[in-house]
Formats: sequence, structure tokens, C-alpha cells
Amino acid sequence: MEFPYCKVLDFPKHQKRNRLLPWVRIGIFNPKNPSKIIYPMGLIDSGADISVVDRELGEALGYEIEKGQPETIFGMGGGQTPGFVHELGYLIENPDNSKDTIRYKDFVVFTKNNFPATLPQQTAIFGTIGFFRHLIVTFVFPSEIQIQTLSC
Amino acid sequence: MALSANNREVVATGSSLGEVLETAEKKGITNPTVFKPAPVRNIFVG
Repeated sequence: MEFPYCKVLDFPKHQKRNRLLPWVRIGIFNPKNPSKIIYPMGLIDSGADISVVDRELGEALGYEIEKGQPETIFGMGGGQTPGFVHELGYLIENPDNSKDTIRYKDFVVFTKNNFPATLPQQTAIFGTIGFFRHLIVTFVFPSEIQIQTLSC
Repeated sequence: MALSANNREVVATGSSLGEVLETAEKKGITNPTVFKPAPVRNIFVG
């Protein structure tokens, strides 16, 4: 499967800036109710140990967020983000053929609070646990991100 | 906000996930891409 890089516009120090970032549409679902799927646009981040999703999406999928295992995520500069670990279903659809899918279950951290407002990515981050350990991911900047299952 | 499944069009905006999913569904989009953009209403000084 090939996914395009996402063109992201922001205004650091009041100056217009365009960047190409590996933001990809990934379906997520609660294994207890796999028919309800939400498709966040998330950052593919090989530097993240575990996937992190904003709590609002977890609540919409029926999770009781605080019933998960408490965990703290540490970021660049020492910032800390508290959250709770849960099992999550992942669904990756080929943008060129929606019947071509990759589906698996793994862990995720749902944040205790909403993502920090200063982060450009406010929705989801896909890291080693929850993403890379199931897949072969090739970054071909600036044209595409290639994703295959490990069993290919 | 909610985008079409191919991420080409904005199909709904709102202040919560539930609101954008409901608006998208009313337009017949049951599988939108959802995304929380950084708030542009914030005032930063420095």
C-alpha cells in the first residue's frame, strides 16, 4: 500500500510554512465492538515507543479510559503525558483499493487529557507498539509511505 | 474536523468528535477521516 505525504500548513513566528509530514488515515476500533470504526489522521512516528491516541476517540469507541493501565509518556524536552493503556484494533485500508486491508490488535495509550494544544498533531501518533512491530514501513520522501504486512 | 475518506474534502467541522461525525453522517459520509487541528484561536506571545 502507498500513502502520500500530507501537506501541512502552519504559521510559526507568524510566518507561513508548508511541510510534508507522514500523516496517514488509520482505522481504529474497540475489539469488543469491531463494527464501529473511527479513522483518525495520525502521525507515523518511528521514534514513538507506543501508539498514542487522544482520549476523545477512545471514549467514542466505548472505552472507559481510566480503567486501563496507567502509563506516562515522555517526550522531547522532558514533557510528560499521562495516559492509560488499552487493547485496540487497527485497520489499515489501501487508499487505492478499500478491500485491501491490514487488520490486527495491539496496545495503545489513550491520553488522560486532550493532546497539548501546541502540538501540530492533535489526534494520534502511531509508534512501535501498535504499528511498526506489525508492518514493513518505507518512507520515500517526498513522494509516499509504503506499508506492507510482515508476512508479505 | 472530518474529511472525506480520500482526504480530499472537508465534510464537517465542529468543536467535538461527536459533532463532526454526526454532521458527516448526515451528509452520507459514514467513514470520514477525523482530525483535530491545532487551535488557531490561541494567542501566543513571545
